[in-house]
Amino acid sequence: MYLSKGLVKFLLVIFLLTQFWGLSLLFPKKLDSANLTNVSDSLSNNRLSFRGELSGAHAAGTAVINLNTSSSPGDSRNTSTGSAALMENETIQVGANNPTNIVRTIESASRVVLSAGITNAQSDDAMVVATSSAVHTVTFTPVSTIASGAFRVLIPSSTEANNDGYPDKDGFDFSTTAPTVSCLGGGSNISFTGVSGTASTSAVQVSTTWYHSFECRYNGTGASPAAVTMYIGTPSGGKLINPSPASTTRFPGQADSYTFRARHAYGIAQSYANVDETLGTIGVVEAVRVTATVSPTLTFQISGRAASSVNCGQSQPSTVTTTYNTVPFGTSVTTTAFADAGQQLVVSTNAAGGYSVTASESAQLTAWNVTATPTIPDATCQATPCTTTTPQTWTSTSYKGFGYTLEDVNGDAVEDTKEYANGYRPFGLTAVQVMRANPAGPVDSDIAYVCYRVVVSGTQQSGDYENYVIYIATATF
Amino acid sequence: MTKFQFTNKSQFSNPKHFKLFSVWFLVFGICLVFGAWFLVIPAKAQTLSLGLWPPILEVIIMPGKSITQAYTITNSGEETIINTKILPFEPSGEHGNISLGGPTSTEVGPLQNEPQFSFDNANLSLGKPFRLRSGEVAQVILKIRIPENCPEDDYYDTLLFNTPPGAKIGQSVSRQAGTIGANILLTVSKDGKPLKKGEILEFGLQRRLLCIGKGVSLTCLIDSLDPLEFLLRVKNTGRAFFKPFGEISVGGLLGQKGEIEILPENILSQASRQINGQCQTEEKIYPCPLTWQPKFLFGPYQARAEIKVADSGSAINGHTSLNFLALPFKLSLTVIVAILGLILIKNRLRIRT
Repeated sequence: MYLSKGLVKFLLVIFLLTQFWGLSLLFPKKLDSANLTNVSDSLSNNRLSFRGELSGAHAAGTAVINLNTSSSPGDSRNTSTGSAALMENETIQVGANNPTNIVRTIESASRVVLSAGITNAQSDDAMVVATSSAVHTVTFTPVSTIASGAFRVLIPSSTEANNDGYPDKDGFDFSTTAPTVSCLGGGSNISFTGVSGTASTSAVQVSTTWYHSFECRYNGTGASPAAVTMYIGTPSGGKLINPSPASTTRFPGQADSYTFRARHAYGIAQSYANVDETLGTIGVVEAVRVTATVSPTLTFQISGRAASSVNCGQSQPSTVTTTYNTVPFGTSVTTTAFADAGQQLVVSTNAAGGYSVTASESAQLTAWNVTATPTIPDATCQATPCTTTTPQTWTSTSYKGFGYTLEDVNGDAVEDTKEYANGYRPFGLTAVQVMRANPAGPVDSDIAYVCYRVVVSGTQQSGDYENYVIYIATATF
Repeated sequence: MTKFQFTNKSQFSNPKHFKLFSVWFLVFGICLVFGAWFLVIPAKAQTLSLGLWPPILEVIIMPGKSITQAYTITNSGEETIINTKILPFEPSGEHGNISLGGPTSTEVGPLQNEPQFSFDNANLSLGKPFRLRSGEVAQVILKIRIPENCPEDDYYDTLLFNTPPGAKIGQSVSRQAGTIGANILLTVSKDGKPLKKGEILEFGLQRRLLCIGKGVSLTCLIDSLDPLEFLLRVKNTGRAFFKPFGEISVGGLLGQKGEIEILPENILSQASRQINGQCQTEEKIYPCPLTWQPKFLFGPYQARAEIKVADSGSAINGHTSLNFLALPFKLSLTVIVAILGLILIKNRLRIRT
């Protein structure tokens, strides 16, 4: 292959230039300024603060407030619209001259119920504030060796009222209590011992933006610096207040981003002049209200009891097995002994107010195929008053009729005065309560036995007597 | 090679073979029995077991509008027939219980200007029975239509799912019918802002030694060691049900302070309700007595019931304050008895000596 002279010269020049460039990579020039690496700012709570306003004037004592849902608020600082970003049970302040309150219920996109009425009346467009504060954990790795220098973090602040304790739409509020600053790490040649961090509100301006300044000065040579962590604020102390939405068009889940600056500066001899700087981004997100509703349910169960089982202290005859819808006394009904049989009722509900079970009968036990005395009367017990709501002792078979009593098996569903120790009572045509949640509220498997008792007189005509008992379970309102 | 010959015992060529066969047979038999035991389908006891969601529905609706609500009924028991009906109810007592019209009540909705109920299901109609198999979950779509001329008022009804009583069995029998119901609290209002107001009927102490005076001048005497439990009854004097909210604040002359938050529970129109306190765990909010439990009560106190209507925020007035004096009667009595006992013992000892 033949190459022209010119081409060979050109390739030679290119080769030499490449070699010089390669050599320059082997011996790079040390820069005076560089970027800090691995810079981040983690917020313990990255939710935007809420700063909305009232719609209309609100009188003192009002506990239901209406929020402005307009995208053009009366006060341009109040950029949270409606109640979408509020949470139940969070602290809220209605107007600057009122104490804090609690959000009890969020009724609609604009209506919020507070736990207490507002102390002082508020005019239309008065601010409504729910602050979100966060501890900032800023991490970075220095690259320069600076003896007895300082690390400084700048967090954007608003240009006005940036330390009044109310959220601002264009920066973090310093709060009324200065956040504590502390630093860790830095390696063996950087020591933060004995040097406390400082926090200064809106102390630094870069271009047109103002920043809160947080600084940790250190002792040591600063050689071979390692990662540094700066904490701004403490969980129980002063913290920066997150901004409110930058505009009224924010929707749940949308973030506003802010640029913070991490700096590595000289020490006091050079007036803490800045050396290295890296910019980072903080994302603050509009709240997403997640609600999980456990739907209330009610379950009601009736089941039979086995032959010879003991219910309410009485043995069920060996010939009688009850089912969920029949109590077949059969031939156990006599004139000289009680026929006792039972059923089991079970109720569960997670309804807040609990439940109630009532019972009523269709009629007295009645035989349709007899003419004389076709009914077994409802129990009259052996003491008075023996009514559908008041049980009485019934131990003598001289007192005829059909009645019932109750036994608590699980929970406290039966009123103490209605338990079998206090005797029996008749069913009535009007429903009366037999079980209820005690204490009122959700229950898991309240169980009670209903124990039926019948004894007939010697003149009771033979026949098949029957009635039906209706149990109704409802949740309390 | 071992070989089984399935013939008479005497025909096993080797007694060892017979022994081995016996062991195999035994193992096989045991496996068979256990297998059968595990394969047996568990018998389900005869049970009526119905579940209902939601058990309560609260609606504010304008005349001329209609809404639908899906109810889920679950049958965890035997296959059964379900019948449906809607009955009006009234509050029974002051604890949120209901009293249905009773067996003789007619179904609601016969009047043209009252709320009308129907099912929106293609295959189900209100008042007509349907079969619900064991384990089946049925969804019933209840439609509530409010006629244009329906008066602005509250309407309280219960949607009932009945099962039929057991069959006649040719002997003396009491038959049972199980019913599960869902309450419906309906407020018909043209502007969505019905008149909601209430009045405190009674504000007192559950355990007290003595009370004198009436109304705002009511003053009670209690023992310092007794628990302080308040009784608060509120009547709904408006036209629509509401939930009260607020607290009872207690203050003592010696600077003691306490607050008891009340539980927002429905008070139906023209009915009264005994108010519960609000207790809370991580899992649930539940009613509890209106109790304040300081370490030791002493001196004069004043309690104030600061209650409001949830939606309107209007204050519920009436007997809102209560004065009481706590003194250590039981403790004093114990000390006096102890001193007298000591004096008695001392005197006895002196007489002996």
